[in-house]
Amino acid sequence: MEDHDGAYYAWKQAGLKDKILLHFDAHMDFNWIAPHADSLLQQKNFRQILNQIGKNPFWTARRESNEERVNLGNYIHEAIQTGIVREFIWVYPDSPAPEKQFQAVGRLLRALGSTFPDYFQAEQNVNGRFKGLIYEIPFQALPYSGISQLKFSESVLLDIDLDFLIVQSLDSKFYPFTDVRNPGFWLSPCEFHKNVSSLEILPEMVTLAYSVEEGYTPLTLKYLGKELAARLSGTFDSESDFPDEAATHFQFALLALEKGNHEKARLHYQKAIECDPSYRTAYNHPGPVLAELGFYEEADHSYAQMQLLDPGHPAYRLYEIKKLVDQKKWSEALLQCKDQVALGEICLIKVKCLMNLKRFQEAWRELANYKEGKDYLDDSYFHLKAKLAEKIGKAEEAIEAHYGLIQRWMGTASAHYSLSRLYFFKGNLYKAKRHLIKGLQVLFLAPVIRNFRRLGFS
Amino acid sequence: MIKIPFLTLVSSQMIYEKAPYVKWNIVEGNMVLVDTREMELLRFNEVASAVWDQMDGQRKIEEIVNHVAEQFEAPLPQIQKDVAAFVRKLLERELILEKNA
Repeated sequence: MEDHDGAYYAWKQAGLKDKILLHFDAHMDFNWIAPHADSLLQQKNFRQILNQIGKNPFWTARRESNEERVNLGNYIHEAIQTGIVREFIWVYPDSPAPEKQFQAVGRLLRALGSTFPDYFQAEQNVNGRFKGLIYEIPFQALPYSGISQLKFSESVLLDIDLDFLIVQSLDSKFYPFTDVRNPGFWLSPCEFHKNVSSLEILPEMVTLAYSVEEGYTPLTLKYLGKELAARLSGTFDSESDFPDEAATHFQFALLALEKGNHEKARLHYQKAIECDPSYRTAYNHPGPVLAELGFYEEADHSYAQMQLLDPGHPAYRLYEIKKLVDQKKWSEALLQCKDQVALGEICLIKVKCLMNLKRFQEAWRELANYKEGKDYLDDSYFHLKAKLAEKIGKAEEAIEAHYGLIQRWMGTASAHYSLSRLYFFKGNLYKAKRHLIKGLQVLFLAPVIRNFRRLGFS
Repeated sequence: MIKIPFLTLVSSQMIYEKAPYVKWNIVEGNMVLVDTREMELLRFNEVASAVWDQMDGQRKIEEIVNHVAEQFEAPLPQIQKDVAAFVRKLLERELILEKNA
């Protein structure tokens, strides 16, 4: 499969229940999903409602079902909530600096737990092994070097992300990506397969995600997944399976580029996307990641190189626009946006530029063109909407946007203070007081409770 | 200008509708509500449940009062006072919204 949330649908389709999940991944793939309030209200009595409430901290009135809100970052949450998984074991990569790796995992788990301490607890035992509970089911996280300690008396769901072999350090400045300037693998499919086979695991089902399109595997290393899949299924033949045709052409294209033979490079690239259209992706080079990390010089080089292969790719124009935004060249960025198709990201960039040019009414009209639905963009959308609505005195819309942020786990103290202020001026003192208190709770009480818990108080 | 909600009068001619972010159902004979914006659970008594049930964006407060008075055989002035107080609380919590004509 390409995206890792495909694993959830495969388990569901197979009718699997109460399984141990053994998840090899550089990312935990567990994030919170708020269930529908409707399901809460279907309980037979009030006591059952209270029980249900105890099982989840957040409820939503959004139209999409829980499953429709599943993505590659949260599918394990849904697998736990629907009873597919009754024990969750996350195996993370080994790092040359193990202590730093353990600290990074600890930080990640604490961040998850601090949002909802009643539903997620995990403490470190020894050697990077964390044990705890998620929604009262056993959870553990351990490094790859510790898997020989695992003993199973039943079959398990073996779930692998190809980036496990590639993204080695969870403490790196590149994380959640790998070092995209020079991507490689720290563990070969052969070694991995050999080690996992020695565990005497009886897999009920094996799922393997390439995670190139929206994940963190560089396209240049996708061929590793083909090899691993062939090894896991027992059909590996070094002559015919390694590497596959699209991957071969893609590598040839890159080699030709390095040698300055652009025509040959383009020819191989076209052949690669003929074999597998997924090779024409915005992430077929490290440019976007380098830009996100602020390595603009290297990103420029990467973009220039890939533009030779695929001049019509929309990602390049977007990159140019984003660079102008980073340099605060609002008018120029706005001009570049003009003839762009109505992509969600372009729409939000236009709004940001217009706001900075103090053209608030225009920005508001532009914001109306945005269609919700892309999680990573929706957060920015609600932030911009809240800020803009306050600027132009649209109190109701600002309130709605702040609630939107809270519903998306972005309920910071400042969102509550803004709500408190907006309600005060609206004359609703009940809500003003309520959000002032909530803001203070988020700011002061949550860290205190967290520290008390860490010290062993409950 | 700051409006003071405590002085808001609930007119008998007003029409209110339930807020879109509120989910509700009858559980064990009582109306149970989830305010999904505030993550708040509320349980209404029998009279409040009857008022909530009638708040459909069509009926005026006057009609709701009459309906409740009939259903519970209580004196009209008492019901008027109780319904007005209840509606004010619902408005304050933004569980209902004023229906635009």
